[in-house]
Amino acid sequence: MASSGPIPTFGFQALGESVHQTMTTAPPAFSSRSAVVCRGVGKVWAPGTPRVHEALRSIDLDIAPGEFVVLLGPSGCGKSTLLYLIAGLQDATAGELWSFGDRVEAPSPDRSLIFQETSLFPWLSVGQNVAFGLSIRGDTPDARRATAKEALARVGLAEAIDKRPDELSGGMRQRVAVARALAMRPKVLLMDEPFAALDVQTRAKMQDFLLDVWRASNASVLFVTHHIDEAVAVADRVVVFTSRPGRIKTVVPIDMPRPRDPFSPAAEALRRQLTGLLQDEVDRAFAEQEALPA
Amino acid sequence: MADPWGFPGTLPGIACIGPIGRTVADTQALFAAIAGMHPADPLSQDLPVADPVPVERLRIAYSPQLGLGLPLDADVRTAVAAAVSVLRQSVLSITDADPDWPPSTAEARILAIEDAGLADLFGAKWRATPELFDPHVGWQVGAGMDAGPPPALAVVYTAASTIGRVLAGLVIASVLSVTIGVATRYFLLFERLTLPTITLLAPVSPIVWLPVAIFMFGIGNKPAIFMVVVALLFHMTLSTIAQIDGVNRNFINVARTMGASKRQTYTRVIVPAILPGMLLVLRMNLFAAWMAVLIAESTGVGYGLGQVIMLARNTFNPSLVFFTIALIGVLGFSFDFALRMLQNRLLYWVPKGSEALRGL
Ligand SMILES: Nc1ncnc2c1ncn2[C@@H]1O[C@H](COP(=O)(O)OP(=O)(O)OP(=O)(O)O)[C@@H](O)[C@H]1O
Ligand SMILES: [Mg+2]
Repeated sequence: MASSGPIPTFGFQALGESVHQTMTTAPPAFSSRSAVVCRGVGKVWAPGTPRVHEALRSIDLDIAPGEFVVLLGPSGCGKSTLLYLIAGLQDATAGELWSFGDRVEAPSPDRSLIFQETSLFPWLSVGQNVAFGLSIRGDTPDARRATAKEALARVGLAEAIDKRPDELSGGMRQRVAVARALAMRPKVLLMDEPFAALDVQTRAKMQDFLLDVWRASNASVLFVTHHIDEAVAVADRVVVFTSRPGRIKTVVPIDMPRPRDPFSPAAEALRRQLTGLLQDEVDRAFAEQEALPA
Repeated sequence: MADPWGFPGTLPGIACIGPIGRTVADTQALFAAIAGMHPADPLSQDLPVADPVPVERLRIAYSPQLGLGLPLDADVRTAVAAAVSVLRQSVLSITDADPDWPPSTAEARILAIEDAGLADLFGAKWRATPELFDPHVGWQVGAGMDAGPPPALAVVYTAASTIGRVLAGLVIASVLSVTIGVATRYFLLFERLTLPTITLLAPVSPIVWLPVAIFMFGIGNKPAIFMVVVALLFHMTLSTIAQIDGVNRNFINVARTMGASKRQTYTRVIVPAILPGMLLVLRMNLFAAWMAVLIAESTGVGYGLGQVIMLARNTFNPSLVFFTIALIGVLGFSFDFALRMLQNRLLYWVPKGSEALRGL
């Protein structure tokens, strides 16, 4: 494995999915309409070293404009990794990624990523944080402040514009991070467990507000979570991942009008279905970890 | 007049400026000893001495002022004038000259130090029992005591000159090290060119730079500031690089997803993100800066607290030693305090570490 030869294919052939490897670089016709297209995407961390780790394998995923897709999967299955690839912060080691007809090669303000951990700049005020991307873009200070105010109002924090991040609660900070992403008017909003650290009640409120924001912005959302309740509450589609290497196990469409009653029989059934799917993977992951030679 | 700089290790208060001898014969003997080579003396060198010039051909000038504006006893003045008029009768041609001595006349400056040294040593005794002193020495002691500002102000001047050097060195070293550190990470070529040298020089004790400081800048403020800069620069540059490498990946990723260019990422994210760490490094290195400046001053690179310590050592004055130690301690503490205040004002976002611990 430590050789400098080609990256190991990890048995793509055996799975009969080599077709994705032979894709040409010309954009396929479908991709210009999709917000995100993943074709045979794989990611191997630290290839060619003893610490090589296959995080993702042959991911095929299309996200329509304005669609709300939730990624569900056991811890360490590569959900964050997929978001990094779509954001353009990391390069895929296999397959191709497209966004609105363009290949994903570098980060773009069109695809905003909200990180799993708080990532507000502590040296900037809340307003300056929200306006960061705008000032990078070269907006005038007045325009920046107006946009920041509007984005903060959308997450219910208009009053906090002159506060410092460390004066806010964890939930408020994540809302500011959402506002910072919204201020750039992205076409794709990538959210990596943004509400993981919040209590159940606050999280429920955040989901409501996120749905409002999503409707108003027309952006596609790819939302990662561990919480089945959350997935059931917000998703158009739930993509369930297998444990490592992360692959798509099932895609569960949710065709229920919002706002959804979490106690309705349909929601109950969905939760049971998703819990079962996830439980299999968690069991498998644990079995694998126990089987590892000590 | 003997030039005290002509002897190694001049000690204020012990070495003296004065007549070489009272007779021509004495002076001749002394000259032979100074100019001549002695095989038993490892320091003496066999240098050619200029051939004696016939006295008739010498051009001799006489200044009734003795050039230095020093007060002369009447008997000395009369004796010298008598001697000169005797010489005028001889084959010698003597002209009167009263040149404008430049302010940099070395002996005049050293005399003031001499006087101060004598005043320091004998001032109290001279005040109590002036009759025990040779009038010349007494005059010098008195001049030393009257010279310069009053003691409290002298302390302030001395401390201020040292503080000024520390401050100047700190500012220069901080700006340089942040610039070099950032450039190292920004330009790969710059890193290849400079980082090995910096890493090589970092473990070298700042004391070894002292000769370099003197070669390059002579004596005065510049070499002392150079010493401070050199004591800080390499460590601070390496810390800057470590700080840059430690910047939260998410901050950089946020900047990238917002479309920031490499330059914008550095100026808008990396530099503010490393500032708190840099200020901490600065505080840690403050003590190195103080050490460097004192070493520079005590080796004659300039006046200041370091020189006072050396003067106190040479004149066996323990109370001055301890006073200076206390002063340096208080100043070092105040500097650290000032930097902490600066940190609180400038880096308002950095949590105050002790607040969380106080409740324990
Ligand atoms: N920068 C990296 N270098 C090497 N390996 C990495 C890196 N980032 C993640 N990995 C590995 O890739 C795998 C997937 O990580 P990832 O963060 O995508 O998981 P995740 O599904 O987001 O997990 P969680 O739900 O706990 O956040 C993990 O096994 C992790 O150890
Ligand atoms: Mg993750």
